[in-house]
Amino acid sequence: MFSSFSNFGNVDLTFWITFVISAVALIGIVAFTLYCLVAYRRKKHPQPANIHGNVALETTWTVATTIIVMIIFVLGWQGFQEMRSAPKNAFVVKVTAAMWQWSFEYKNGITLDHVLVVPENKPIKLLMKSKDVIHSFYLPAFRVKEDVLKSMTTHLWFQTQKPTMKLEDFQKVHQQSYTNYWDKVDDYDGYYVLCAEYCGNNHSFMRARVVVLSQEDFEQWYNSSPKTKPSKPKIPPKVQAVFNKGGCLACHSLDGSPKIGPTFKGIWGRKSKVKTGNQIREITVDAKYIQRSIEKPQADVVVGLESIQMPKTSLNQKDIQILIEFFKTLK
Amino acid sequence: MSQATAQNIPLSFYEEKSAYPGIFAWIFSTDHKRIGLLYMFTILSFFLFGMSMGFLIRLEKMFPGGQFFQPATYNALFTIHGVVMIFLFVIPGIPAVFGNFILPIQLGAEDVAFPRLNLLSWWLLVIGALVIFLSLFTGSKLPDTGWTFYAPYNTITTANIPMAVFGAFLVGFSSILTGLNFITTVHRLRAKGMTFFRMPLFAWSIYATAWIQILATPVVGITLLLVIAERFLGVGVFNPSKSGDPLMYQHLFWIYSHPAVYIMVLPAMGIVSDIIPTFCKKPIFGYKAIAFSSMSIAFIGYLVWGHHMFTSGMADLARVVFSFLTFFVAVPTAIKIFNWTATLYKGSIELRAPMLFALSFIFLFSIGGLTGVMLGTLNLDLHLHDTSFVVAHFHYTIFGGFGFALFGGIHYWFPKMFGKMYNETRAKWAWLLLFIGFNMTYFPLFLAGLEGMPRRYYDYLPKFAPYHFWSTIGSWIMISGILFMFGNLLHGLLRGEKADDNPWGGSTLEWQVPSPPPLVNFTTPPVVNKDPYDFSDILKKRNSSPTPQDQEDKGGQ
Repeated sequence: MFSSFSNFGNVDLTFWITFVISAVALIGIVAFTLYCLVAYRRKKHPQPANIHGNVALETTWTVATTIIVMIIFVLGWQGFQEMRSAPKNAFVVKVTAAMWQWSFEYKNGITLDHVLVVPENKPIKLLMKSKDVIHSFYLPAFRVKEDVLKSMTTHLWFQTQKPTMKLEDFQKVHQQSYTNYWDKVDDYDGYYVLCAEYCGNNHSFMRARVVVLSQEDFEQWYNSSPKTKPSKPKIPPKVQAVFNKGGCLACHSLDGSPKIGPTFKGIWGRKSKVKTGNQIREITVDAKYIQRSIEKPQADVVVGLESIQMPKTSLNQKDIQILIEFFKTLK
Repeated sequence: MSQATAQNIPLSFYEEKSAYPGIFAWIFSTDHKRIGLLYMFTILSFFLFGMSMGFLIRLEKMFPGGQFFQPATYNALFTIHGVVMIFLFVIPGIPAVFGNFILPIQLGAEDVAFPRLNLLSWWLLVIGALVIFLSLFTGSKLPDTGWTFYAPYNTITTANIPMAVFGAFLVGFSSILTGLNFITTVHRLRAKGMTFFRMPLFAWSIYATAWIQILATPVVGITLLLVIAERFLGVGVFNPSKSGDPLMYQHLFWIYSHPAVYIMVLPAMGIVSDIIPTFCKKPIFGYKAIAFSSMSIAFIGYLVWGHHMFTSGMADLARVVFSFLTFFVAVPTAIKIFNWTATLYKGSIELRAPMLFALSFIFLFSIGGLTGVMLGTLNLDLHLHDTSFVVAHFHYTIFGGFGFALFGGIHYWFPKMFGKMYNETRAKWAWLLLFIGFNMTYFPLFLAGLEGMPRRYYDYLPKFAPYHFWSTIGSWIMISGILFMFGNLLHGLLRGEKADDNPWGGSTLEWQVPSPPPLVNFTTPPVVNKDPYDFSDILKKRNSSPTPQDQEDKGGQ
């Protein structure tokens, strides 16, 4: 397995133990088969022996197999117990999954989308709930995974080790758009969260990152961050209805925070680079551009977001007009 | 041809006159052999369709980022691939084809116990398949839930899921009727002298499978009724928005679908248990152990469905219990693998085409089984669950297991079914392509899964790119092998040389009737007075009057 940052060394250990047992068994079977194919081929061995079985041998391998699999079971069970019992002093974060984003809520009210900030050397316990379908919180670097449901709260825990970033770097990166964020995902020691339970169109884009800060950095961030999301704009009911119809807010934020697509904040009049066919051109977002983007999502694609496909929606002319008027107010 | 020989060789079931003309002589036939072949051509067409979907999935995933399809199309592709492969190809699978064609002859019977029900099962499969295909075009989009139809996603997607599940239900009904037929056939229609322990192991495996078909399949029917009640009557069963429990859906789904994997693989083990003794000319090692392990796999298979739910939010204690029970499936499976391998010892081995498939079955299924042990291990599964490791694992067991055994069975019984022979050299080349391509396609997915590549991903992180690239190249090799194999078989069917009644020197009853068999299988009812894998007569005959093949082998000695 790839480099681990997990406190759950038992997972990798169990893997290597079962791997070695499996490899020995498989090599034994293949070697014996090849030997027989050569030694007892018909040309060389025309008269087969009349063997029906061997009780002693059969009993031996039955008992041996039973013992080996029971050992593996116990290894798995022990490791599992550890992975399911979070220490009492664990730092608790609430996780909300929705199509298709991860949000993290702290005890003091901070809420973050797509990024989980945690202190170094600390057990972290996640209490997770879904807003819609089943998702699965998967943090490969820590070997943990648990489904996230609407009907109940599920939990998992892991122990952080060294910091992965300095606070200033984190603040810099966190301001950037979602895309630049993922370009460097491999640089951040593979501390990424993936959704492991199929949840619809953008299942494979439902990612988040875990950022581990040093104790001081974390305290500074924890105590200085705004308690709620910055200036949540008021959404008039008829605009909200259009958002619900199109499902826009799953991928676009209103407050500038990074999501899958570009944020709506300040979108009116924004200059951005888009790819039209194979040509890159600069556009200014106006009514015409917004209309075209909604009706033909693939016609112009914002540079850097080529790998993400905006789905077609069922919004009509009236809906689009409502959105355009609303965007004008989103400074 | 003299009158005497003409009398000795009755008309084959192909030549026998039917009450119906043309194609109706097939689709209204109650003859188990015709129904077996109907099934074979039906499910192989579904296989080729499902394979094309698989090809497109691999093509899309060759490089990271979108290549050819939108995410919604990709999601529909893996859903249709899974539904068609599982419900229309693998579950009817070997019992429907060889259980029908071969089982009655192996038992010395004239037909299955209920020939009309048997025809009805085929019709149910076809109607179920039509309903499933219809569901593709009747929703506002293609089904995109994956073949597991998990709740509550199945209630919020706008695809026509109830109809697809209804199709799966009809197919399940076909499966129940087939199981009923085979259990009765095995109990009531064995030839004189054929005790249970003189039955070939293929018959044993079909018998064990039939019990699962009868007892597990109704659960999927219950699940369907609940899905319909939820969708159309507004009863909250699985959808948490209506106070339903999505875990309940998973339980019900896997109570059926886990035993279903043994419906897939037990008959495959049966075919291998028949092929290996024939090409070793020696009784199978530990006959009773293999027969009993088939039965115990069928039994324990009911109690382990929860191992699909180790990360589902199910109670921790339940996860431990299911893991414990799961390990007991490993024991009878390992016993079978050891017994097959031990049968080779001091045999007189001919590495013919069916034998190649049987031996590669052992290899691939062992890999599938051993990785299954890893997935049954609780702590490991928390990491590996729902990753491409699982995808690789079940393709090794179902394709490497079921698929290779089915292809092996087709090569083994081809001369019996059609009275003709395919080109064996080409069959071996096709096997080689298939075997190499198979491993190249699926092995990289184990590695990607270990690194944390989730399954059902349209796009993936750049670090997984090399695995997907090689897997896609492998899929091309594998598909060339499959097409080459079918081409060769088709050529054998149309242009092949006439096959002997017993070309491989098999000891079971189907090799004692003409190739292809007459409509009434046995002119005189057979009497069985020896074990199924007793080759003494065949060896005696081989020594006293060697065939040209035997001469050639001796010359090389």
